[in-house]
Parts: sequence; structure tokens; C-alpha cells
Amino acid sequence: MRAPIDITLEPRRLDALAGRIIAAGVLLGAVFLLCSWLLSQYAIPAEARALFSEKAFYLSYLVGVCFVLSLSLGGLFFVLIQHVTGAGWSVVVRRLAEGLAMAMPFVLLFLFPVLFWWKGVIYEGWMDPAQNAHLGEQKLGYLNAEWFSARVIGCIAIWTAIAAIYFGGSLRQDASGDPRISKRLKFIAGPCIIVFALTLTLAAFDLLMSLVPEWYSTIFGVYYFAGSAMVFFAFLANAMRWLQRNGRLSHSITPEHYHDVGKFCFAFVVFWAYIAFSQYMLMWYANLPEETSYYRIFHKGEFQTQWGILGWILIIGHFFVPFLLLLSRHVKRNPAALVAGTVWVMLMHYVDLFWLVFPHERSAPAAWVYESAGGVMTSIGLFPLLLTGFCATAGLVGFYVAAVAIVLRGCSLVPERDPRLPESLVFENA
Amino acid sequence: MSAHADQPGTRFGTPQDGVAHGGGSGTVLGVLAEFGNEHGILAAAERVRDAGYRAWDTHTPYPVHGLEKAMGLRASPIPWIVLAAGITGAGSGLLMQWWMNAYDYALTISGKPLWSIPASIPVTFEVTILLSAFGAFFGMLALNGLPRFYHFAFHSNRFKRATQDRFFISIDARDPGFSAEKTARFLQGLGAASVEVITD
Repeated sequence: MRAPIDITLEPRRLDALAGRIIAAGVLLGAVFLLCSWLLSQYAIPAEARALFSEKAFYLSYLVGVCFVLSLSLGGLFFVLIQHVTGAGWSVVVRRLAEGLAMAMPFVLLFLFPVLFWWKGVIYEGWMDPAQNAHLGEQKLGYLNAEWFSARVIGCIAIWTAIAAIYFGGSLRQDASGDPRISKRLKFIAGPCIIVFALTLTLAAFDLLMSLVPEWYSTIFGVYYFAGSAMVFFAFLANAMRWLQRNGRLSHSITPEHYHDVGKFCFAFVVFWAYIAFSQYMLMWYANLPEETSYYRIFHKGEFQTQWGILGWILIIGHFFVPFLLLLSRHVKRNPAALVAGTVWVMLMHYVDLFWLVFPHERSAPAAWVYESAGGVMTSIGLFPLLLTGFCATAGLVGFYVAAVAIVLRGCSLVPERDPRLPESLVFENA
Repeated sequence: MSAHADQPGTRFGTPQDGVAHGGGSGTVLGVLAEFGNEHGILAAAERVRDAGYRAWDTHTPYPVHGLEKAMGLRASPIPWIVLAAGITGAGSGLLMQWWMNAYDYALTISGKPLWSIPASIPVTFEVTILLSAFGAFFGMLALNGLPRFYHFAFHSNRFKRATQDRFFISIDARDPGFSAEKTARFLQGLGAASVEVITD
């Protein structure tokens, strides 16, 4: 067993870093969002833009918001799981997860343009009366503009409340050192996880699955959750490394903690593949037209071959590459190697969300394959769209990181007086 | 000494030297040292490792974190065995289904292709897991030299508490650096609660 570390000897607050993060986050966020908007205007040929118009930017923005929502949801999930299992190893990194979860109200702020201005365009498949007649009365009873916004805001309000209970409790414990707070938080963690699972499924259905209102998959919420948990652990590893390089928590976070965060990330890479394949195989096997239409665009036709490439990027890049990389104990215990692997994982989560949003665009194939000036059929190509979506996601991540710094700027980066902190500081993997 | 002294099958040496003698009266099989807690055995294991002993082992009632480092054990080759077994499983699982469904007994079912990857993944996955688990389990047994029905420490009555609340270091007489007297004194110097020379 290692000698205990005296955390009072090292910097464990953001202090001056907070201002730097907020300034850099807001600046980079604005620049990247502007880049995304410019790309949506100028990287897409004019003939295609006439069919696709401003929607490329709105969809890119939706991908970005779903990306940062994943980070907050993953953080909330992690905090709840650590409490319900009474985990000791993770205490030293738990405050970071609490900070991500507590950034939830900012995610709602990021969603406002979608909820108030753009939803009619993004979700035209069921919002536009000219397009939704075939969906039937019952489906339209659920999918309508007001009820949609109410559900999304309601879900985020519930997550914010849960995050506030855990973040607030943890801060009170910093002051009082009362171990009963840990017990109380553990007691309510179980019911909170149930509420979390149900609301996450609703939100994933609304924000992402309803882009293709004819199609449904009951496992869709789990699919979004699997990617969310995975990208959260990837982000956490990067945040730990960045803080340590900037002189915070240099001794309290050890290779043992990187190792465990890496294990979690690896586990959710596998879980994502398991869920993604389960969803695909059942539809492939049942061979029902209303289900297979979702995947058909990746298989057949001239313009769709581009989306086929996207499918292969996900199979190889989202599963096999991180699986083989994070399988190694040496990679997980080496912060620099783990950061390289987890940056890749975050990139792949972006491609995954892009895959959920773009190929199913309603105006396809007209928008993807358009008639150019010479009367030749041409396609937009995957790359300009991937880049537009990437810039929007990078922009929102910039704003999101600034939001997390706002949440964490006034408090310690470790739960100072958590009864399990000593256990976490000397923890070693067997 | 302890309450164990009067139990049959154990004889103890003179109280002056503090070293007990367990087992029969024949050849010396090894030395057994008992420790009261995991801190004791961790510190002692490092010293035994540094003294250059090779044929020795530790016996604890539960896995003690960091003991493999204190004993100087090299990294286990188990991960590589599991990887090889897993790849074998994936390959043979795919091959088996291809041979059955597309080659040996080709039968069209509801218009599906005779050979398709999606339909083959579940079985391939299961065979991969099965062979990986076999590789891990049987590889572990083989590397540990198990099943093993005899160890010289079984001659000691104290050793029964290795599954309850005592921690032991055993040094085999076959170790090149072994000498019954010197090794016993060495272990005593490491703070053992008791040291026993085990004879046949």
C-alpha cells in the first residue's frame, strides 16, 4: 500500500486557471461556431444550398448540443453510480464529474435556439403539416411542438435538480465533513438512477430519434446513453491530464485513477458496439420495411455510398481501434497514451452523432445529389458536411468547458472531506 | 508458545532459538514463517526477494494488494494467452458457421443470403468469449502448477490459519540459497510471529 498523500500540500482549486478557461472557451466557441456557419454557407455548392438552405448549420448545431449534453449526462451517471456502489477509488476525480453534471442548465441555454427558432426546420418531418399526415393521429398526439419543448425542458430540469442535490451535498460536506451526507446521497442514488434512465430515453427519442419520425427503436435511448458514458470517461481522462499539467492535483491523481477511468471508457466502447449491433441485427433479421429503411441508405444507391463510408468509419474507428488500443493495461496507465486514445474516442462520438443526424435528412436525396450548372448530377460529398458539424461541435464544447469552469471556479477540485477520500488517495489496482 | 504447541503432529524445538520444528524427523523440506498482518508480510516479502531466494511463495487468506510487486513477480503472460485464445475463437466461430451454412449444408431461409456477417456475429462472439475464458482459466491453472495436492507447508498445523487470519512465507529447501538454520534465522529477523522448519 502506498503512503497516504497530504492533499493540503498541493493546489486543488482552479484559481487563475478559471478565468483562462472561460476566456479561451468562449473565444474558441464563438470562432468555431462562426466557422461552422461559414462552412454551411460556402463549402456547400450553391445548387445544393438551394435545396438544403440553412438546415446544414442547424443540424450541425444539434449534433454539437447533443455532444455536450452527453458529457453532462455521463457525468451525472458517473456520480450516481459512485454513490450507489459506495465506491472509494473515484472520490478524488468525482468533483470533476459533479462539475460536468452541474453544467446542465448551460446545456439548456445552448438548446434554446433549437427549441425556440429552429425546431420547425430541424424536425420538419413531424412538425410540418405538409409532411406529417402519414404518421397518424396517435404519433402526432405525442410529437407536437409544445409537448416536445416541454419534455426536453422537463428532462433537463430533472437532471439539473439531481445534479444540484449531489453537487450541493458534496460542497456542504467540504465545509462540515459530515459523513451522514454521503449516506443520504447514497440512499437516494438508486431511485435517481431509475429517473435518469427513463428521462434519458425520452430525451434521446425527442432530440435524435424523432428526426426520422417513421422509424423507431426501443433501444435508442440505451444507444445514446452508451455513447454518452463513453465520451464522458474520455473527456474525464483529458480533464485530469490537463489539470495535472497545470499543477492541479499533481499528486492526488495517480496512474491508478487513469487506469480505472480508462477501464470504464473501454467498457463503454464495448457496450456501445454491443448496443449498436443489437439494434442493427434485429432489424436486419426481421427485415421489416419501416425498420430497415433507417439502414438502407448505408447500403444501396449512388449517393448513399458516401454514407456507407460513414458506417465503416464507425465500425472500425468507434469499435475496433479504441478496443485494441484501450485493451492494453500499459496504455490505460500511461496518461499521455490514454489522452491520445480518448481524444480519438471523443472524435468518434462526434462521428456517431453526425451519423444519427445527417444521413436521415428529410430533403435527401435531393439535397445530397443535386443537378449542377451543367445538368450533371453531383453530390455534396461527405467531407464538407463532416467539417461543418465538427466546427459546430468544437464551438459548443468550447462554450461548455467555459460553463464547467464557471461551475467549478469557487470550489475545491476534490471532495475535501469525503469519508472515502483517504481510501481514494492510496487506492491501487490489484 | 501458542496454543498450537500441544496439538499432535507438531514438534517444537528448544525455546531458546525460537525456531519451531514441524512435520516428521526426516529430511528438511523448507521453512515456514508466520506473520500477523499484511503489512508484516509485504515488508518481509521484499526482503526475501532482495535476498535472492527463488523457490519461495506467500500464502494469505485474501489477495493482498502490492504483494506481487513485493515478491518481484514478473508480469503474467495470461493476457497474451487470452488474446490468442480469443482470436482463435473468433476465427473458428466464423469458419464453423460458414462451413455449416454456406458450404456443407447450404439452405436458403426466408431469402437471407447463405453467408452473411450480421447473422454470424452472435455465435462468433460467444465462441470468442468461451475460448477466452478457457484460455484465462486453464492458462492460470497451468501457470500456477495447479491442481496441486501437496505442499510441504501442509505438515504444519499453524498453516491451517492461512485461510483464516494468518499470513505465511514458505521457502523451499530446493532453493539454491537455502540452509535450514540460516534461512530460519533470516526469516526470524524479518519480524515473523513464528518460524518453523518443516521436515519430512
